[in-house]
Amino acid sequence: MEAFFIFIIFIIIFFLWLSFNRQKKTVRLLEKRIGELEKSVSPLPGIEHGRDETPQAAEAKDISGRKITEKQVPAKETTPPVELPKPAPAKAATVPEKTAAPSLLKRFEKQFSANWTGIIGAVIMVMGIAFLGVYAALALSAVYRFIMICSVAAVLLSLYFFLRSKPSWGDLAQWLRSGSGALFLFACLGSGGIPGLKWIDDRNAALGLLMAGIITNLYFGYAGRTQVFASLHAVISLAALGIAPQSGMTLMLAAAIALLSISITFRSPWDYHLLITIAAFFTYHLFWYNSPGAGGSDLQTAERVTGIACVASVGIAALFVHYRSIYSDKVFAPLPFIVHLLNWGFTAAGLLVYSTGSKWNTPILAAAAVAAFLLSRRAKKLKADWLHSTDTLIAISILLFSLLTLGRWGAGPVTIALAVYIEMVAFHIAAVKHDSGFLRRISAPLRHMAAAGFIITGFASIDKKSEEITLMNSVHSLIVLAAETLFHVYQCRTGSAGYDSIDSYFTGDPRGKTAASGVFLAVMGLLAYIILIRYPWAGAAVSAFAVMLLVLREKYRSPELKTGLFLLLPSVQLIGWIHISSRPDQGTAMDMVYLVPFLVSAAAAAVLSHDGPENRRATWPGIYLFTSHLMFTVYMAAGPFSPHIAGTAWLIFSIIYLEAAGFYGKRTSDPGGTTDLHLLHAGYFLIAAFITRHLLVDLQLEDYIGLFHQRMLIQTFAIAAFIYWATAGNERMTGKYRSWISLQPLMWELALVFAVLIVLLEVPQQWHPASWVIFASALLFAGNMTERLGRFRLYSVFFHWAASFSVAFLSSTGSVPSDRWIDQNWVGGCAAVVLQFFHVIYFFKKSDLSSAVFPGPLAFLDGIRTLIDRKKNPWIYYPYFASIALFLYWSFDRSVLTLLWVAESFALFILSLAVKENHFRVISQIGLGLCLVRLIFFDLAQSGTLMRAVVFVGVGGMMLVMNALYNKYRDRF
Amino acid sequence: MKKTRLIFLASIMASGALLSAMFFLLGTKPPMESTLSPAFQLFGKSTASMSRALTRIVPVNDIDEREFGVSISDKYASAESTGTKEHAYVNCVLKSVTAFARKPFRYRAYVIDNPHPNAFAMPGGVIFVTKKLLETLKSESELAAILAHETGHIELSHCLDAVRFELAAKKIGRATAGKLADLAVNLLLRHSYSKTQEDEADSYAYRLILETRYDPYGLPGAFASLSVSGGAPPERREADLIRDYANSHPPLALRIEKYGQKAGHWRKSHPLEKRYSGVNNLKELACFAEKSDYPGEWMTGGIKRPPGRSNQ
Repeated sequence: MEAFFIFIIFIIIFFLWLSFNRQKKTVRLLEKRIGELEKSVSPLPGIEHGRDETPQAAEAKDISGRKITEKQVPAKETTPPVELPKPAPAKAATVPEKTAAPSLLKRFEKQFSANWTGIIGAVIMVMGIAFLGVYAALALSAVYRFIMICSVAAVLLSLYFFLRSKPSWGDLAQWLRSGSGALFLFACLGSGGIPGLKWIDDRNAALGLLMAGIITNLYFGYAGRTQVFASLHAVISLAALGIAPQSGMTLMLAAAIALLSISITFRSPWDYHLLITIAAFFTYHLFWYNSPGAGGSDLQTAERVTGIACVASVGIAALFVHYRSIYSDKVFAPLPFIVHLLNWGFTAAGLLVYSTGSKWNTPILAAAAVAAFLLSRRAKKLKADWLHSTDTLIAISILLFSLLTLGRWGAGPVTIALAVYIEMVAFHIAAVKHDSGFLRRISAPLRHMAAAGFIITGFASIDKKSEEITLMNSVHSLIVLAAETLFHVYQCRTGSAGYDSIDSYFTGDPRGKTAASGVFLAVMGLLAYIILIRYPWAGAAVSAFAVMLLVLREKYRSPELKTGLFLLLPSVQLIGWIHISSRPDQGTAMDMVYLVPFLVSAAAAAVLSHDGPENRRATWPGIYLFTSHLMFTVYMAAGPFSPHIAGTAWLIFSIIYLEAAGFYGKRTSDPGGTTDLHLLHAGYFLIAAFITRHLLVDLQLEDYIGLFHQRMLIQTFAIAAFIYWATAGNERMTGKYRSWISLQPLMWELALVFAVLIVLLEVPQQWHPASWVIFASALLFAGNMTERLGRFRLYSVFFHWAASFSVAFLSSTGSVPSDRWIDQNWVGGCAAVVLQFFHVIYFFKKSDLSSAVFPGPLAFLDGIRTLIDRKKNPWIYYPYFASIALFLYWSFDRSVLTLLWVAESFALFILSLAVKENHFRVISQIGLGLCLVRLIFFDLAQSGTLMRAVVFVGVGGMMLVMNALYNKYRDRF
Repeated sequence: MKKTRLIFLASIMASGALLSAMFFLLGTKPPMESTLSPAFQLFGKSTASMSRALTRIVPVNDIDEREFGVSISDKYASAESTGTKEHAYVNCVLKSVTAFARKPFRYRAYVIDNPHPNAFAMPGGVIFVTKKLLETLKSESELAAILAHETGHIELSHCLDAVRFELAAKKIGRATAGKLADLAVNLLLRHSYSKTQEDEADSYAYRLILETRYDPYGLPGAFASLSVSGGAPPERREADLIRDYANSHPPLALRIEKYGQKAGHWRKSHPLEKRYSGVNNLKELACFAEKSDYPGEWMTGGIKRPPGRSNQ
């Protein structure tokens, strides 16, 4: 009894839903008609907008309400007042006086009167009959109950026949017929299965009677000629079948019901009915599969095949519904799309329950994908774009699932990723070539995801310990590499690279600027290289690949490859370096086999350096790549023999680069634009690398060759190289490049630094002051030789100061563990003093600091130059004089100090004569005076007799000579 | 290209090629893969010179330093035992080492009980040596080299530089302020030239050893003995900016290399000259001046590979 009431309630709900939709449609239709009516009413003059309240308002009146006379009204206005056209005869309503939308209450009243009275009436009557049946059931036997119910159904049917010709009773008649069908079905169902109504024990007979009821209902659904009745009868038929004991037969019957129901939709675009039918069948199938004794996971093969066949047949039939010309609408309609998609989903879900995990699912799914694809082609011919797009995507998805099941055939994740990648590339090519709009837009992201998926899977699957996995991964990566390369070539040849772009994600434009294939090629190349890295030929292989890409870029002017190469080349080089460095025991020959090919690819990058649509070239990436790799190759090649070779070689290369820069600079046509500049910068980099290596490695070198340290030979060679750089003249670069103007002159300074380095490391400390004086004189000489080196005159001052400082504070300190006088520090100090004497004379005569010019980075020295140039005496000469005094004071015994200081004064006096400087003479005389004071107060008092004699004689003698010289050269002062 | 320049270019290329060929044939390798220590030593020369100049300006002299040394030695002479055999032996060796000392000090050494092999010098001619050092070194020539190194610190006034402000301030009764000034200067500048001073002391020690009868290989030998005393021999190392700057001493590997090469070079030019090693002298704690007839101690001829380096 409860089942019966549930059945009735379901009917009511279903009716309510159907009715609601119908009312909604009706309301919309009415509103549309009203709109049309309003438009068709021609407006009277003076009336701008709005509607007249009554038809009588069409009298000739102007806005103010005055009647318009004949004179005023034009001819057409004299026509009789416009009458609103009569609306189509409404069923039970009249045109409302107000043409505003009918109110909700009125609408509800109308719907209730038109439909619900019939529906509710039929339901109540059925309920009444049911109560009668209940009563009768208690008194009658089952078969009589069956007859009774059938009789009632017959009565209802006869009422249908009676009322169907009556104009206003058509709808009720339809419902009565449906009611009779439902009752009959109920009776048939009850005959075999409902306690109290059951009078047939034979299962097949009961099923047969049930089928009679179902057939009747299906016919009534067909005869109803509306989606409502068709759907209603299909659903109750399936519901009734669901109540019966389930078996394979019931499933087949359900499929037949669904197929019949679907066949009705071929008459008209009944998408609601189709949706309800397939939903109902899907629900039934699920119910059937989970029923004990029917479905389940332990089905026999025959049952499984039956289930698959039923589900597939219903799905396919529903599929073909949309393959008709009535669906070939340019405008996308959501309902057919949803139904179509849901159908695929229901079919797939229905078939999925029968999956045994067999590997033969793969070809089956593949075949299904092919079929779906062929269907989509048919949809394209029908010009149903939405259908074509949907089924194409479905085909792609099915094929994807098919490929994912390759794991059952033993395929690894990389193999599957490869297959998916190839699928998506093929899809993209087809979409771009043959399709437009949606598929073309979606194919690129799918392809990108597949490519990215392969890359990620590839990286995750790297296993350097397993040879087998490495081999397999390498084969896969090479296939993908080849495919992507060919794909890119295809893009270039067909001009379709824009459809593969990444920037279209952000702009929304399906055709972007930069295709992803360039980047993918680079990353895939990198992946392949990492997989193969341990083989000796890996370097050659990836270099060959890079060269091939360079050639392609050159041929097709592909900006995507430019991006890809920019990523690939430095990355593989860097990884190669790390790899080679991590296996130091391979041997130089093997390392070179690995590394040399990278030089080829880097050189190719400099030559095949197309950049941009014109014939512009960008040689700089290739130049810097080549240079860095050359440095590393030399480092690795020479390292096992001697680490000191690399720095020397780099310095040699820097000179070659300098000459190459000069050569390119002279070429009138250099499509690379600034090839010479980059060669120059690479040369500077080589020099910097040499200096760094020298500080880190070469300075440790204490080995001798002959009398000299080997390190000194490197430094001497470096000085020669820097001088070669410094003397390079290039007018073009001087006028054009700031780096040439700023850095080129500094090569002289670099040579000077290395010369100082040699002195510090090789010359004993004792002789440093003398060395600085020699430097000072040499720099002064060089500065006077050419104005280009005018700044050397200032540097000579620095060395002069260094010499003075060393003489004063260093030569007089520290002890030497030797008795030999030649080893003593003061000897070096004295030599420096003497040399400095001559230097000071030279400086005095030839030291024009005003014209010294400094290169950019050293411009701050100009301030020091100005300072010194203003007053040379306190900066140059006085420090010298003071340093001698201090040196003498700290180096020698106090007893001879007076003599020595007088000697200094004497030397100063000679100096004043040599340079004709009065000031020096004055200072020497002051010094002499002070010494005389010391002579009296110290030497007389504290020195011994012999020493006193020596000092006095010495001092006296020098003073006499001074006097003689003064008188002879008096005119100089 | 002008002819002169072309010749210049050809000369440079030829020189570079010859240089590379020379290294290739000789197979020269540095003791460490890379290090910044020699560079810091070079840069430290300027600050070391400044420090030296500053000491010159500050009114302290050898007399002040001697008094400082006396105060230190008084403290240790009373605390440590000076009657041990080690004490006598070390001072005997020190005596021959300080024959060329210029400063007006009485050089004396003290042997202290410390688990680490070490020696250090104090102003005024005081040198401390640990017992562990005597156990670590292999010969008397090595001990002489170490004592010469410490003597070098004193003779070159490195010790005086460290306490100049204290000594100067003491004269005016402001010893504490002077100590603080020394501390500040040492903290700020010491790292920049400590390696330079160590190098100067090494150089002094080497020159001094050459003037004695001891084997010049004593100095690199001492460094080698110290390098293995902690465990593994010096390995090839990479440069480290902070470590290379902060280390107060140059790496032992470099010192071994440098003075091993110098000793080898000297040996090449003096193949017949005999020099004393003193392995047994050290074992018996009998200095060379007292006993020089142990068998096998006189070295002559041949070029030894610098000790501590692996064969290449």
